[in-house]
Amino acid sequence: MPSPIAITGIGAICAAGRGAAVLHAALRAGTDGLTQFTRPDLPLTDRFPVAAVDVPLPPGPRGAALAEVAALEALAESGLAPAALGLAVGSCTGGMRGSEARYLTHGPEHRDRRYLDHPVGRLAERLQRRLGLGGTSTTHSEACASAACAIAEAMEWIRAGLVPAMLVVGVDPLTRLTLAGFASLQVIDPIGCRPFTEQRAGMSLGEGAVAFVLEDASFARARGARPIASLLGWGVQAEGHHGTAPEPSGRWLAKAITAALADAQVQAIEIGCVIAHGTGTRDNDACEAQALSGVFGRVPVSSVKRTVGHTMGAAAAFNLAAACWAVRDDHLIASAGGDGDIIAGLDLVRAARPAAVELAVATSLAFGGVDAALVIGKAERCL
Amino acid sequence: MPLNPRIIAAVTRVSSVSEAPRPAWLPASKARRLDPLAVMMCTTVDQLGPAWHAETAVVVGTAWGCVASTHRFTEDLREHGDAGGSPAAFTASVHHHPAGVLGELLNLHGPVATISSGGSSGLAALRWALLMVGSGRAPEAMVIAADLANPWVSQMAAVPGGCPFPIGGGVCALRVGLAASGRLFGIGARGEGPWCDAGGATPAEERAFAAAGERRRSAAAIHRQWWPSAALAAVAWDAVGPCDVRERGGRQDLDVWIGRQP
Repeated sequence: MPSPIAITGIGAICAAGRGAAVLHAALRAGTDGLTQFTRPDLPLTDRFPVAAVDVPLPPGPRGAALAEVAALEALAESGLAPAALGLAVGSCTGGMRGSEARYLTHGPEHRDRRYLDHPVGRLAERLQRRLGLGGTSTTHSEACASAACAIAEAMEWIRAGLVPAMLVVGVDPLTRLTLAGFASLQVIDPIGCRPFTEQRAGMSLGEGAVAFVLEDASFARARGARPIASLLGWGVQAEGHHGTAPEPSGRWLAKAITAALADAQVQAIEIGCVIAHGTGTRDNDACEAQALSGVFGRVPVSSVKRTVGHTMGAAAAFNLAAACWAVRDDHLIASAGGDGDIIAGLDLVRAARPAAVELAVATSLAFGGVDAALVIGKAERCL
Repeated sequence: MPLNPRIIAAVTRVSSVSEAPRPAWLPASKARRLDPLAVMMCTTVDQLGPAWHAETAVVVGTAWGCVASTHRFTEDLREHGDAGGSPAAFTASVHHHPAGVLGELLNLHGPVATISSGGSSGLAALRWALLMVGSGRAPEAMVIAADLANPWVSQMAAVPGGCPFPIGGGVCALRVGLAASGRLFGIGARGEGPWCDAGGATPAEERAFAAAGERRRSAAAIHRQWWPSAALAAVAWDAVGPCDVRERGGRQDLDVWIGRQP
């Protein structure tokens, strides 16, 4: 049986503000994090609301700056020195925010060394340099499941004994390309996302970063660390169905969840809540509701998207953080935007409430047909 | 019982998308909507043989991703405004697009990943595949290290100083599994035989390599062009002896040992 992995630090930055405590409070309160504004660098935000970060950031490309803020907080909470840590990043857009602005302003002939920050992998390099991370690194880019895949690989590195501890960061800034891209697909709700309701009409985009310090449980014990929660299992599955639309029956997501439960060696009936991908699109929520009812029957389900927006590559990291706090506090997370008629048979958590949550599952789905699930347990499983 | 994955088959194709024969399982109607990198991956993977297990893991390593589609979509915005982007170009611009296409066309439902770790993307993908197959998460893995330049890349790629070869592209695809025969491999260098890299070292580094008498195979020198995830394309897959493969990605060097051909 693989030993559990201790989560000993969480850091976050999102539309709600800076800090994991701020995010946690917003999720508990079911805050609506969406706003509509006019900004020349994000032109479509006057047509539909987004969840934008509006706090001062460190210098550098926006994605790297968001990642740095979250990572520093997670490291501080864990108390681990960065020199020995491996790094796994999940992100879709990398340095796109800067390079698209330069390209659209100056045209294709413009030369600028800052284009070197465009590739996704540069974000990890910058983070390693800024934080003094000494271990090896990897960067996952599986669209909206990127952070889940980065977390899965980090778990296997620790289990295989390659490293005792990892810093994992899920991050994506809002970019003009993603706003225009999702608008071209006509999957953005003009009045803001309403996950898992019959009235849902699309997603709302957001930006932010969540970072975790993951440790081998015995390593964490030996140094007297106080885990927040345990990471017990993962499942990542290719749907092999379609580039953008999930397979309607939810069978491949159900398979990913089942694989994660098997990895964690727990039963579906033990799961106290699910932090779902829950974007608010017609296809995603219908597929996810099918998969969840198929695996769990009736289980409390939450979506964080109305509070933090759909943060793309970071989305699974936000879900994992919400799941950690749900199991730590025995308290379900609210789903803002869920005031309409709920999809039949789904136990959507409209307001946060106390509940016994021994174990939780966090799910994500992504373009390219990726389904992912993580199983989270109480910190005591690491002790 | 420890599981020891092996490289069962390997094939390299260098950037000539238009000349490559399209596999029968990739219909023309589909191919025209794909990013050129995805098409090139399909034509390369086709040479690894048929009959993939449905639970095969697909692990792609790419530094630049589908940059042609990203460029196309951004050009759309420049020309037609923010509401003028093509949805097809947007979906094909996603790094994970080629891995999704392979899963869809070959009916694969195992674990899947796209790793974009700069110059170490190819070996980072191989490392993740090794871990997944070794831990029993997948019976075999399709590992693909691929990058394909377009004019936009020349602005954003860090062309190694002094590299005498132009920016290009290529794909190296491996079939990794638990078969009895095949080349064993492992994480870390062993110093047996030559070592392989993507090439593009500076003149000073090249002089240092020569002075040290190192037996080195550089993909840039072999294929007369440079791309970041090329180290696996420098391996002499038909040769019998072992070798080490090295990739540099920003602040990390990744080494993989590839054993003797049985």
